[in-house]
Amino acid sequence: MNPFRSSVLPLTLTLLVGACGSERGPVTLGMAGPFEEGFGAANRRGAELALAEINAAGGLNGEPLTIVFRDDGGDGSRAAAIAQEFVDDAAISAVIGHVTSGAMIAAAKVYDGHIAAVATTASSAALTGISPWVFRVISSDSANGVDLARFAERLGKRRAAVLYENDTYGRGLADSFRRQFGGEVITFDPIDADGTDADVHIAWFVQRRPDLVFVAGTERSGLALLREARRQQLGADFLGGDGWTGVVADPVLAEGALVGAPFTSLDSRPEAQRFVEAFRARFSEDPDGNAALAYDAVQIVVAGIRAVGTDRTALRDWLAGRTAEQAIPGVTGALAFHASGDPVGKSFVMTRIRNGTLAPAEGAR
Amino acid sequence: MNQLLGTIRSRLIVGFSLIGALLIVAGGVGRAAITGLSGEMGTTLESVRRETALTAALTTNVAQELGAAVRYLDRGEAADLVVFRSAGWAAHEAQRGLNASPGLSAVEIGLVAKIDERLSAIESALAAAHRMRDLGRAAAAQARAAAIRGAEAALTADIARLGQMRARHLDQLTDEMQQLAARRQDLLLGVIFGAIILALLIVISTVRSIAGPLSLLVRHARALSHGQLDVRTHAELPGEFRELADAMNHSAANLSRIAAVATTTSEDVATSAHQLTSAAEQVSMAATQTATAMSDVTQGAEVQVSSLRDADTALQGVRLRAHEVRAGAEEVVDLAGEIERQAREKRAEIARARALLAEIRQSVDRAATEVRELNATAENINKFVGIVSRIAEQTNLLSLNAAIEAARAGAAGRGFAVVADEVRKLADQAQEAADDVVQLTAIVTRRVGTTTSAMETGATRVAEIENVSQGIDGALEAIGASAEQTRAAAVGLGETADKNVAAVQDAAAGISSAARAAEGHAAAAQQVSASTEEQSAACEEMSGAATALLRGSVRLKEIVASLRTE
Repeated sequence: MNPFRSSVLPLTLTLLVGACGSERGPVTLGMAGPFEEGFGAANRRGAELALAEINAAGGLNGEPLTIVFRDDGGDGSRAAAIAQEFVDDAAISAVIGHVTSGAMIAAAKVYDGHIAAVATTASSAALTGISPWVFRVISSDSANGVDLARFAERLGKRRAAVLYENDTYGRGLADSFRRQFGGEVITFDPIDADGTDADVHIAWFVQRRPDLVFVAGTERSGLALLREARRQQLGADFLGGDGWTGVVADPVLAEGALVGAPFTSLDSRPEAQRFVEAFRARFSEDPDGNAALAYDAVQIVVAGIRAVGTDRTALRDWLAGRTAEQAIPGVTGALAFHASGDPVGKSFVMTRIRNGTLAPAEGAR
Repeated sequence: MNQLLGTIRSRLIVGFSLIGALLIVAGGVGRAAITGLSGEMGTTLESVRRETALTAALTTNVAQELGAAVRYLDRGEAADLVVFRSAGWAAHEAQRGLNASPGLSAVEIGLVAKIDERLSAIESALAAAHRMRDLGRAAAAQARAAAIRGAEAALTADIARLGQMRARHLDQLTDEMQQLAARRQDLLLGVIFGAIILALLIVISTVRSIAGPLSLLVRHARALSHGQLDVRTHAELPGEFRELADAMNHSAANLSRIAAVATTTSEDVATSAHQLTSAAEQVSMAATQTATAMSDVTQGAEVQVSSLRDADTALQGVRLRAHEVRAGAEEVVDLAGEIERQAREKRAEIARARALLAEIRQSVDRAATEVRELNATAENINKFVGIVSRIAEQTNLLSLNAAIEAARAGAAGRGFAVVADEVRKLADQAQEAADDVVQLTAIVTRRVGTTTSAMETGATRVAEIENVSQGIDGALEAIGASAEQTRAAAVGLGETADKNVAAVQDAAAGISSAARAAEGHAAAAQQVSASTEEQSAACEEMSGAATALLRGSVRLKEIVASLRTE
C-alpha cells in the first residue's frame, strides 16, 4: 500500500520543462530522491509546495521557478548518474536533495566543485564535511543517534535490539545509537528496505525479549516489522528515527510507536503552523519532517538566488555564508550551516504516534 | 625603452637582469614543476595506494564475511557471527572510503555503490538466515542462503570489475603522469631555451652596440691623428659612445678653430713682417737719400752764400740803369702825344669827303633806276605791237576767205567781195604801222642800254673811292690808338723803373740775410747727416728681425696647412 504513488508526475514532463531553462529564463533547480518511496514522495511534496508558493508570489525576479525532479530510487549509482546530468545541464543552478544518505554520498562526489546541493533528509554522519558544495538541512545521524539513545535511556530501556536497513543511513544511525546507548544491545542486524525477513527477526525478539526495538530504517520495513510484531504479539516498544516518520501512514500499526522526527505538524510556532495549513490545503494531509525539510531546502536555495542570482559558484558561496548569525527562517527552525555543511542547532523532536499523528512524547526534551 | 637601453651599461644591466630573471623563473618553474610533479605524483600515488588498499580491504572483508556467514550457518558458533558482523562493517567502511576517495570516476562510484547495495542485500539475507538457524529452522536458513548465491556471484563479479577498472585507471593515471612530466619538461626546456635565446640576443646586441660604434670612433680617432680635423661622428650610438663621440667631435672642432686662428695669425705675422721689412728698407733708403740730400744741402748752401754775394753786387748796377730808363720813358710820352693829335685832324677831313661821296652815289642810283624803268616800258610797246601784227594777219586771212566765198556766191557775192577787199587793205596798212613801231622801239631800247651801262660804271667808281677813304680813316684811328698806348707804356715804364729801384734795394737786404741763413743750414745739414747714418744702422737690425719673423710665420703656415680643417 502506497498512498503517494498516484501523485507522482510523469518524469518526462518535468524534463521537458527543465530543458527550457537558461541564464535569463526561468530559474531551474534539480531535485532527486526515491520519489516512489513514501518519504521520497513526502520530500517531493514539500518541494512542490514551496515551488507553488514562490511562483504564485510572482516567481524569482519575475521569472518562474522550475524544479527538475529525477528519481534516483535511493540508489548510489543512479544518484551519481543523475548528479552528473544536473552538473552538465547549465540551466540548473542548484540541487535540492538528495533525499537518502547513500545516494547523497555517491552524488556528493559528482557535485563537488560544480554545483551546490542541499540535501533534505540525508542524515548520514558520513556526509559531514563530504564536500564544500554539499549542505543539508537535517541534522547528522551521529547527533540523531545520540539523541535517540538518550531518549531511550530516559524511557528506562535497558535491553535494546537494533535493526538497521542495510544502507548508509541505517548503518550510520544504528551505529551512533549503539555507541551511545548505555544499556545492552542484544543484537545488531541488517534488514532490507522491504522488511522481507521481518517475521524471522520478530520471532527471534519474541524469544530474546528486548524492552526496546530500535529500527534505523524507513517506513516500508518499519511497517513490515510493526505488522509482524503485532501478529507475533511482541511486547517491546519500537523506536525509529526520522526515517520512520512515514509509518504514520498506517495509524493502526503505528499507534504507540516512538519516533525521533525533525518536525512535527503539532509544532506551535506560527511559521510551522502556516506551513502545516498550506500543506493540508494542498495535499489534504499533515506534513511530516520529510516535507518540511524539503520545503526548507527549497526556501534557503531560493533565498540564495534572490540574493546573488543563479551563478552556481556565487550561490554556493552564499549558502556557505549562512552561519548562525546569517540564518534565514525555516519551518523546521532557523536555517544555517556549519562549515561541514551540517545544519546549525537542529535536533529531533521525540514523538509517540497517537491516532496517526506524531505527538510530542513524554520524556522528550 | 630607448631610454632604458640607451647605454651599454643599462643594456647590460637590463639584459642580464632579464637573463637572471628568466633563469630564476626557469629555476622556479623547474622547481615548481618538480615539486608539483612529485606532489601530484605523491598525492596520486597515495590516493592509488589508499584506493588499492581499500579495494583489497573490500575484497578481503567481503570474502571473510561471507565465509564466516556460511560457517555460522553450519556450526552456529558465535565467533563466526562476530567475524560476519565485523568483516561486514569493515567491508562497508572500505566501500565508504572508496566512495570518498578523490580518484574515482562516476562509473566507479556507481559500481562501488552497486557493490555496497549487493553486499547489503546479501548481508540482510544472511542475517535473516542466521536468525532462522537460531530459531532452529536450519533447512529454511540453508535455503535462504542458497537463494542469494547468485547475488554473491554478481557481487564477486562486480568486485572483480572494480579491480579491473582500478587497474585501467592506474594505467591511465600513469599515462597522465607521464604526459604531465613531459609537459613540465617541455615548459622547463622552453623557458631555458628562451633564456638562451634572450642571452644570445643580448650578447649579439651588446657586441653590436659596442663593435659598431667602436669602429666608428676608431676611424674618427685615426682621422684625427692624421690631422683630418673636419671628421665628425654623428651616428646613433649608445650612451657612453655618444659621449665619447661628442667629446671627440668637440675636440676636433676646437682643434679646427685653433688651427684656423693659427693660420690667420701666421698670415698676419707674415704680412706684418713683410711690411716691416719693406718699411725698414724704405726708412733705410730714405735715410740714405736724406744723407745725400743733406750733403748736397751743405754744398748748395755754401754755393748759395757766394752767389748771394755776387747778386748783391749786380743789383747795384741794376739800380743805376733803372734811373736811365725812367728818363727815356718820359721822352716817349711826349712823342706819342704829338702823333695822336695829328691823326685826329686827318680823320676829320676824310669824314667830310666820305659824306660827299655818299651823296654822289645816291644820285647815280636814282638815274639808273629810271633808265631801267624806261627799258621795261619799251618792251611793253614791243609786246603791244606784236598783238597788233597778229590781228592784222588774221584779218588778212579773214578777208581772203571772204573773197573766196564771195566768188563762189557769184553775182550775189559781188558786193561782199568789194567789202572783203577793203578789209584786206586795212589789214595790210595795220601790218605796216606795226612794223614801223617795232623799228622805233628797237632804237629806243638800244639807247637806253648804252645809258644804263654808263651809269653802272659811274656807281662802281664812287664805291671804290668810298672804300679807299674808309681804309685811310681806319689807319689814322690805329695810329692814334698806338700813340696812346705808347704813351701809357712809357708812363708805366717810368713807374716800374722806380719800383725796380726799391725792389733791388729790398733784394740786396734779403740776399744778405739769406746768406747768413744758408751758412746755418749747412751746419744743420751736417748734423742731420750723422743721425741719419745711425738710423740707417737701426733699420738694418729691424729688417733682420722681420726676416726671422717671416721665416717663423711661414713654418707655422706650413704646419697648419697640413691639417685638414672644416
